[in-house]
Amino acid sequence: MRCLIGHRARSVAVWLLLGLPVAGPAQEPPEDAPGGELVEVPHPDLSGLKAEIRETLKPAVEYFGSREKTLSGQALGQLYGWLGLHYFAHEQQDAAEACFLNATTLDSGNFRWPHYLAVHYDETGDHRRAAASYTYSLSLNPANPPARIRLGLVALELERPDKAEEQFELVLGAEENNAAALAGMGRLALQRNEPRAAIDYFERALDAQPEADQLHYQIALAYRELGEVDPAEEHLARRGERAPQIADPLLIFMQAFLQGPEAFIERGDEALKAGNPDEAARVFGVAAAVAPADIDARLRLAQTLAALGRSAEAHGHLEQALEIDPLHGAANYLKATQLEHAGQEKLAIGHYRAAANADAADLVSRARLGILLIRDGKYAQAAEALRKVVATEKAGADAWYFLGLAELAQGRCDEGGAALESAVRLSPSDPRALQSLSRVYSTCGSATEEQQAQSLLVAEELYQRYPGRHTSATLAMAMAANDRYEDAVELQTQAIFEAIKAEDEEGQRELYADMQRYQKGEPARRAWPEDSPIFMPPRLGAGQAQAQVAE
Amino acid sequence: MANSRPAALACCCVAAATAGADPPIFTEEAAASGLDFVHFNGMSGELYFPEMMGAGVALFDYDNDGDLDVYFVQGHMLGPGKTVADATFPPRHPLPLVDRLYRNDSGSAGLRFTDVTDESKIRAGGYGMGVAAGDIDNDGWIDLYVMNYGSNQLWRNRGDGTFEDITATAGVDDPRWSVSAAFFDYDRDGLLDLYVGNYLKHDLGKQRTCRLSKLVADYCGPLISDGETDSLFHNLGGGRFEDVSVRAGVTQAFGGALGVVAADLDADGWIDIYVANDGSPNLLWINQRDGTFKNEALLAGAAVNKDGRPEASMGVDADDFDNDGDFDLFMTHLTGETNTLYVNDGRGWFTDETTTSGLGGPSFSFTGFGTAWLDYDNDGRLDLLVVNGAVRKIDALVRAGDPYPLHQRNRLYANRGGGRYEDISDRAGPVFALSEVSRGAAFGDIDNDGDTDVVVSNNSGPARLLVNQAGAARKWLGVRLVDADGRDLPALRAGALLDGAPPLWRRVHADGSYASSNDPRIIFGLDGSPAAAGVRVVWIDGVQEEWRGLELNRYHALRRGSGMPVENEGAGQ
Repeated sequence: MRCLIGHRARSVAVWLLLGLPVAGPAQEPPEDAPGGELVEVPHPDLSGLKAEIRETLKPAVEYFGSREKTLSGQALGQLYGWLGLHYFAHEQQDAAEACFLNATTLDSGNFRWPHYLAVHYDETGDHRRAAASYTYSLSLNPANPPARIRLGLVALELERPDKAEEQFELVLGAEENNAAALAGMGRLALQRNEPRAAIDYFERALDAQPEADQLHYQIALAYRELGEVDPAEEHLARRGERAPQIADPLLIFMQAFLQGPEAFIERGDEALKAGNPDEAARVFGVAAAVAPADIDARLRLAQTLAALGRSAEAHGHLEQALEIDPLHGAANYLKATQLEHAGQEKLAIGHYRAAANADAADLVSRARLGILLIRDGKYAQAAEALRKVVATEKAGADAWYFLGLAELAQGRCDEGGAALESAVRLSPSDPRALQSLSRVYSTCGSATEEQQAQSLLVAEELYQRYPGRHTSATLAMAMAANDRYEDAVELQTQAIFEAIKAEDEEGQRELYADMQRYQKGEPARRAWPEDSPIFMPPRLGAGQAQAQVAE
Repeated sequence: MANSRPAALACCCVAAATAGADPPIFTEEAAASGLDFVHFNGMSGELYFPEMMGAGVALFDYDNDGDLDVYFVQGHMLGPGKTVADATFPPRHPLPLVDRLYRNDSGSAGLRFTDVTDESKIRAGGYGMGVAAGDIDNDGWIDLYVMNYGSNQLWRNRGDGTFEDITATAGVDDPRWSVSAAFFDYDRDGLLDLYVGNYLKHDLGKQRTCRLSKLVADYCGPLISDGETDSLFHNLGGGRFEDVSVRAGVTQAFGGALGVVAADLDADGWIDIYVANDGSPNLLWINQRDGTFKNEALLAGAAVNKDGRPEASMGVDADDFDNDGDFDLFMTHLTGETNTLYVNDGRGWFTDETTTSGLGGPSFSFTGFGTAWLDYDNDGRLDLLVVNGAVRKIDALVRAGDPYPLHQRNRLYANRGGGRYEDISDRAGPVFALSEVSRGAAFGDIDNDGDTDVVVSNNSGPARLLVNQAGAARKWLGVRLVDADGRDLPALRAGALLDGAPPLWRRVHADGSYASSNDPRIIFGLDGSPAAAGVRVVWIDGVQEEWRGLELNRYHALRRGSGMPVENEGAGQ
């Protein structure tokens, strides 16, 4: 048992428990109403329930247990309400009642909980309490026609025809063809021995909802009262068991708790495929509401909201997912990408690492981790991450390429060259890999003559296709490696000229250093300088990496 | 033993409880009186549907000594190869597991019953469901029709304290699952015919997991099985019957019968049949006066409730609860439904007045079985007693680890007049605090003190004897309708004629309730009524007679032909 937060809340819950009529704000229960404690929830013995129900309820109960002690006030009330919906959907009425009572108490401004509580009382035959709860719910939200219709029907059971009529008329004033309200008026007319009027109401209800074939029975009884047996028998022949439906969004929502989140995730996926992200977000939202601990539902919701530009909401759902499971792979990946987009690379590295640790098969997170570690200058760690990527058969050219860069950045020329060779094998026309490999062959001491000759052919091809500072410098390196120093100087001059035009003083320094080596008949010292932009692969959302090849 | 019942039965009142301001209305005296029957349902964890449906009980005077004897229907092990060693609850009644007959040996020392099953030679070893009592051969001795999950039995009362099984020669066997039956004379030929309500097509060998339940293991409702057609047996005389079900038209509609009453519901002078079906529209077989019947339940407004929905009807009774001269209908239903009251407008057209009667809300949480209208306080207004017991496991009991989580409390509803009832169970006596799986209930004046007592048969539990402590101190008049030889005679109705007030009409019957048979005598509660001027009887053929100047607070045997003839007037033809 927990103490309540406020006297007003206490009073309302006790009022509903006792089934006393609670009217709108102007007729609140007296301040001295007794009470003060939450109702103990009689949690059912899950082991006795069917597997499909147990599997739905068990995580819900566990989630409730994990959150109950951490929350208070309104948030705790909502948690109670949420569990109540689970219990209610699975016909655990005693437990549902206690949950809804506590929700009504703690989240006292929320009309939903007394509404659900009223439906519970209604379905268990406690019409007095049902009426009190509907009335209270309507005092919080008068614009709730389903509650009015239900209150009207309960009032009929309580033999309060005037109260029933008032509710039905309010509904019909806003929606003149509401079948359930018309049927209620028909019942009232029958009770008042006004069969002709009853027939009129029932017929109108039937026009509004032709599938509500139960109405034929009531029409028949009304004709019978008029002594008109033939039309009575005609309607009896058409009678069915479908009552006029009350379109109650709260109960429709509750039905979701019966189906579990999976069905809604599936529907959301279908909506996305059909190009309807708004519907997908709505449906994913239902899934997340049904199963707050279902990270899959919450992540899909976050992703969809992000795609819709609803960043704050997306962020909130992502944070909740990580709160539920800080080590969840997909959640960490999504968080990392958000952070990377936002330029918070160091934080992103942590989440990519968590994502990669959560799932060894998650190559994308590991690759992004490697790339951001390169950008952070942590080349050894980057290489370690990327080596795990390329160790799988699924690794693409990019992974090999960035592994090559990470190795080169550490001065591991041979290892870098080997990685770049793999990148080129997988993607023979990738200019980034070709250019770096050409430079490796031109600068590594272990390069064979054949490799040096290859480097020249590749550099020339690149230069022809992407004439510019980098391809010019690359070709100069290859010329030098093949003892064509004059050509190297000429091409290096061209590269320096482009760097000057670009006002790239850092770049100019490295180019001048290599120029001096060419002039002295020496090859270039290394493939890329330590501060080369090549070691700053673009982060997500920051454009393409082609800049290093062709300006 | 005399072969006819004395006209005036000795009053052997049981002193009303005097302790406290509110003495109990009923006291429980089964064990104290030797009524030690304990039902055995043969359950073994397989959740066979029939195991929790039985059983009924009959009140009838088998030895014609002027008091009501008791016949209990028993179960046995269910399922192929099962023995009592497999039983979830071992038998608490001594073996063998057969129906039991208890002779009423009450006297000045109080209520006393003796188990006379063996000497009665009744060997009813079928898996028992229900029982109906009636004098099928007009020999003045009441016979028994026992309904089983399986073949039924007709036990002819030989008049010497023994019975013989004449099922085969009588032609009334029915191998299907029968629950309730009514003896009645539908063709006015002076012989009791037999309507047998059959329940479902069911095969223990095809036990199915109940997909409708939320529990791992629970009983299924009736909707997973097809209903059976009922049977109508025409009495040919000489202890022989003919199955006229098809010819009479009563197979043209069906739906899982659990309760049956025979009553002149449309007041045309011919007995009709009302059948309470479990989950399907109920049937009102209107007697066409030519040996056939037509189901007019829908137009009559008695097939489905006011919302047009069929309900899980179990027990049923017909009588004039509002004292307006016609027979109304009351039946019990499943938890989540209500017990339902259909009020007759005099023409056999009914209106569901459950809500306005106040009977809806209090019954919503209970699954009702046996029931009857009885005037427990003899105030002239028919009250209602309902015995309850769930058919699906009750969550709270499951949580509490109850081994048989179906039990519920029984209810007593007092008729407050104006069509209103009040649930007075909480002040009706400690017996109403018992929570049991009650099924059959038979109603009658067991101690002959002028008020109605009740015997309750509990599934897998001890029988209960509810002795009425409230009615005998009030004014009453008891009648038994007999022929010149003192044999019980059927009649359409009997009415207490009051000075300056409409008569109190009551149905003459032994049928109704659930799987049970009742005291055919009528007790008119007259407390608070104008002085009774007499009694009028409308015999089965429409002939009416009146008896005047009957002494109050005693029973009278009203012999046909001994009263004053009355031209057709008032209620009935």
